[in-house]
Amino acid sequence: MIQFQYIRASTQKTAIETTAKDATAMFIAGGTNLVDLMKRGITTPQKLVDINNLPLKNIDASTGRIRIGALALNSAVAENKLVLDRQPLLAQALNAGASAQLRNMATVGGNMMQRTRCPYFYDTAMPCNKREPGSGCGALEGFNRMHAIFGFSDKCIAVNPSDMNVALVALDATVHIAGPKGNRTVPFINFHRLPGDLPQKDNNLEKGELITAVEIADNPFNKHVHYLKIRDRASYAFALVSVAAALHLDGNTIKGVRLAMGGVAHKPWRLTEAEKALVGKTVSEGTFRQAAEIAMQGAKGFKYNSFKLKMGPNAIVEALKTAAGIV
Amino acid sequence: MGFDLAGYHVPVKADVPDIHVVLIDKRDPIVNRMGAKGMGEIPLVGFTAAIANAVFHATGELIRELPLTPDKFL
Ligand SMILES: Cc1cc2nc3c(=O)[nH]c(=O)nc-3n(C[C@H](O)[C@H](O)[C@H](O)COP(=O)(O)OP(=O)(O)OC[C@H]3O[C@@H](n4cnc5c(N)ncnc54)[C@H](O)[C@@H]3O)c2cc1C
Repeated sequence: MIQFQYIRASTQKTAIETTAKDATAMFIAGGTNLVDLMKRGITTPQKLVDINNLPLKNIDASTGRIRIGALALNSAVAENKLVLDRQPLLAQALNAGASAQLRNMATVGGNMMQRTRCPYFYDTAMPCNKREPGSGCGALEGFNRMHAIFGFSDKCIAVNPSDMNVALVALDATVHIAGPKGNRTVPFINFHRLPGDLPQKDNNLEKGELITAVEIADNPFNKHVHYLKIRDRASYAFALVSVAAALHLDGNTIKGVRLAMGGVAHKPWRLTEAEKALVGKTVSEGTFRQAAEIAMQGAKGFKYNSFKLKMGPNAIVEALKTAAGIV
Repeated sequence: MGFDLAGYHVPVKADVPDIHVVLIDKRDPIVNRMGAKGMGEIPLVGFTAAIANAVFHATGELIRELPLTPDKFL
């Protein structure tokens, strides 16, 4: 067992300072991912800085946006009236993740930071560039059924497992960050990164930086939305492929659209080109099919995950149809 | 690859349709003194084939290898 020290931070400042100056220190929120990783020896912090006493749980709305504190529980966000009224896509995505018990512990910040579920990352006897840089990628030639079809590198083909992230990238959220050098904001789409040569880095958060909140500006995507998650069983399983779809309709005309996919890349995958192709068009299965083809351009499968090349576009069409209310 | 039941999927409640329990109200004095019959393995023989056939009926694909995961139908 690894020995570690546990500290409960009472102010944001001490939480950040403690974590910034100690290379082996990490924040802990709900602990639903970090504790698992520690038990398996994948992550070995020597100091845990518990942030649960920081005042970052609030969900409120002002000046045309919803602000969700980083410590808001996944279940609290999914049940929140403001979220249900204004950003129902986010609530749907959260409810598609994990189980009720986990959502009652898991926080928004922790969800954003959760690590991949690649089995080679989890098995410390296997090579994995994300867990142990330079050791190789076991999945590249191995059992890669759950893996990426977009944006991978020869160092890593793992995917980001979060459902919530798919909705947040579609909704153009903004991440609020506090760090040893001050505060900053990052567009959600730039928060996570592609593996490139540094697959050990999931995102662009610097050492000691704390996610404090996520903000979503009000938008017209509160009516025709759907989060479709395709998985091996009906609940309590990570996505093979998921799609977050939101339409702004004027009668049958698409005035605006937001589209993103999960389970296909190292980061939540926004489908900007497909969105462009849909704006101004009339709602129909044919239109959605064309957009889905555009969305899949550049996708490439591996030995065991090529089914995603078909499942992906089918899921996009289904999600858009459900969002639009056509069957 | 898997290490635990988080990765080895067994059906959860959301996967399982209504289950009807049929009581067979008949003693079997030969098998044991309780008069009970064991039904552990016997139903296993038929039901995977029945499910595979139902899926064949629904999709047109006859898959002969378990588990019947979505990737095998694409
Ligand atoms: C069995 C199981 C099934 C699951 N299924 C799904 C699923 O289907 N879909 C899905 O999306 N998720 C799923 N999850 C993952 C779950 O959503 C995450 O474990 C959870 O969201 C993590 O949140 P947490 O608060 O517990 O994070 P923790 O475990 O406390 O922390 C995770 C990481 O985030 C960092 N961190 C936490 N808060 C902050 C912050 N404010 N600023 C900076 N860093 C921070 C920690 O340092 C740590 O590195 C599943 C988990 C389990 C165990």
